[in-house]
Amino acid sequence: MVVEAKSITVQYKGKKYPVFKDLDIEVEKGAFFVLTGESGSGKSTLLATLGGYLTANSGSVLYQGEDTKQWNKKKWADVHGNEISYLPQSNLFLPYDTVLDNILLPYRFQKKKDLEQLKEQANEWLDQFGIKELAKYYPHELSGGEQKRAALVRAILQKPKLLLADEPTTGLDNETGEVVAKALKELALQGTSIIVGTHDACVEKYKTDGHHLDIIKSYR
Amino acid sequence: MWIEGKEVWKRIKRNHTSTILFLLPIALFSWLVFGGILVDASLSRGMKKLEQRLGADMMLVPQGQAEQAEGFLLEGARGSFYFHQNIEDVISKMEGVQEVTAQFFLKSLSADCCTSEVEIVFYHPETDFLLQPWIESQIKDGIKENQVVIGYAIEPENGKLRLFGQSYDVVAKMAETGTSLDKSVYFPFSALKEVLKTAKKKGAFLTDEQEKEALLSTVYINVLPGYDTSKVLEQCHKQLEEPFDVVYPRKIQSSMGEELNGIYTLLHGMIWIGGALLTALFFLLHMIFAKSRMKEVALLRIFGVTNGSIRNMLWTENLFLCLIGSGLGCLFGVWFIYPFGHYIGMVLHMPYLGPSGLEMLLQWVYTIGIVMAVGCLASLYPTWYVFGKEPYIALRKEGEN
Repeated sequence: MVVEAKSITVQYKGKKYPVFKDLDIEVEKGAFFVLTGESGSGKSTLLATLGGYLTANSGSVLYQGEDTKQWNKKKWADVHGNEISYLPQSNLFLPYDTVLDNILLPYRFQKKKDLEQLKEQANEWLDQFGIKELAKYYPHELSGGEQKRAALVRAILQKPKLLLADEPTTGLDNETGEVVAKALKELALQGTSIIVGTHDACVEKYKTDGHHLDIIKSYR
Repeated sequence: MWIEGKEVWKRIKRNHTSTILFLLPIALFSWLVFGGILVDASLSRGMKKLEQRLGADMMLVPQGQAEQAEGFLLEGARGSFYFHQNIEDVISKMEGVQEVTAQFFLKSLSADCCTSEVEIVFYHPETDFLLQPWIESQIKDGIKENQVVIGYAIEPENGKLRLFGQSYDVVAKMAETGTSLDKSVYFPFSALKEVLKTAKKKGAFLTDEQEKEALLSTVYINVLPGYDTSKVLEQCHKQLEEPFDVVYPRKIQSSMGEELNGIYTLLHGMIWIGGALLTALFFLLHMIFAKSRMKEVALLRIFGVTNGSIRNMLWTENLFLCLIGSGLGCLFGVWFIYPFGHYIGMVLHMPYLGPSGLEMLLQWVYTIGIVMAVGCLASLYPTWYVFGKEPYIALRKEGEN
């Protein structure tokens, strides 16, 4: 298993009820999970918990068999920089960095990374998504769809072991949505485990014969 | 650290609003510390030098000239007043007098013949206790008639000073006082006749008294330790035929010292209060920007940047802002101190002795140190605060699940 959740419960401070309680989930290598549900159903919270961006109140999250509770911040930083990728719902960028620098953000602080090679790869992806000429722009100069594609390049650049994508196609035009969904499906075929949180209406985009699609509705 | 430094520099360059908002209080604080301490030190140094230069218990001047004489003590601008008797000899024989010396002033003579407009002082090298200690350290064989000692602000040409067409060897330069004493030329009394003669020859305007080669302008007296100055003054009133006024330089200096203490208190108060206010403002700014900063930090953490690297970035940014801010503040301080320093002295009626380049540099380093300490202190809590929430919580919008 790439990631496993064992009886996890998350309840926000000051809230009467937990977002989810005693939840179990197992994600195998190359699996493509789609979490569906209405807005506020806890998709984003579950993605964040599985990715280690939020700590569950109880239960454990195992990453490649290791209990993440035992990890220190350095270990988390290492995993977040190299193995787990996150595509947040809102397009999060550092406003003072160019698009390309934002894409390279997870690697710029790692001495061992060959930044020149990563730059080339990033440019190839940007080209594939039709936004290569925007590499030197600042995030605020891009439209929502262009930002989403740039954020996707950042998330998939180094072929992570686990990709957590929160509403990756929401708010995009149909054509851009298809491009993003296609890229995610291809990545899953190459062995990356993917968990997508999305509205029910978007599920169709991810269906293909190439991989097994798990649609989880009853995770609450 | 290099990577973090580059990141921070980009942030400083791109985030104009926050950069300017942070730089302003830092620059103001630096200006206050740098400028305040340097003005304080300059006034203090000016006062000390003046004390050393004018250290006499009493100063006798012709009647009606006390006010002018006090002005001379404070600002160094001499007047044209003269005694017509050799009262120096009479006083030197009085009981309780430790030392006495006289000076003759030739007020600011300006003529085409001269290197620059100067004030000429004739003094007795044998009895002088005001100038001599400053000159002796540089002149081994005593001063001769064709030689002069010049004030700090006078620039000789090839070691010579031209006055009334006559060239004089500059044998020594006085230390800086921060008053117009720095623009004076000092001759031995033995040169008085000759100088007046050449001045007249060159068409310089001389007063009747100067024409008559009046004997002296002022007499400085030091009484024996423990001896009552009023007793010496009593003898003066009895024995001197010519009416006179008395000025007490040490008393003036001590009242100036008190005034200076008041100024120090004010300056230090301003530094402390201003510093406290600016530190609070600095802290407030950190807190205001901490929320948006928290999102940035969360984003960096989500993408695997270590807490150590992020902390380095925050401290480096603080360091850069403090360096730039204090640099700007000190530059503004230098710009303020150079042209306005002497003006400050004039307004406060205090001798002002400006700082040297080295002193400014040291003061700048000192200011940076203080600014850095304050900057670090003010950013301690906000730096801790931005790590206070888990990345997802920091980025989560209200109501989002």
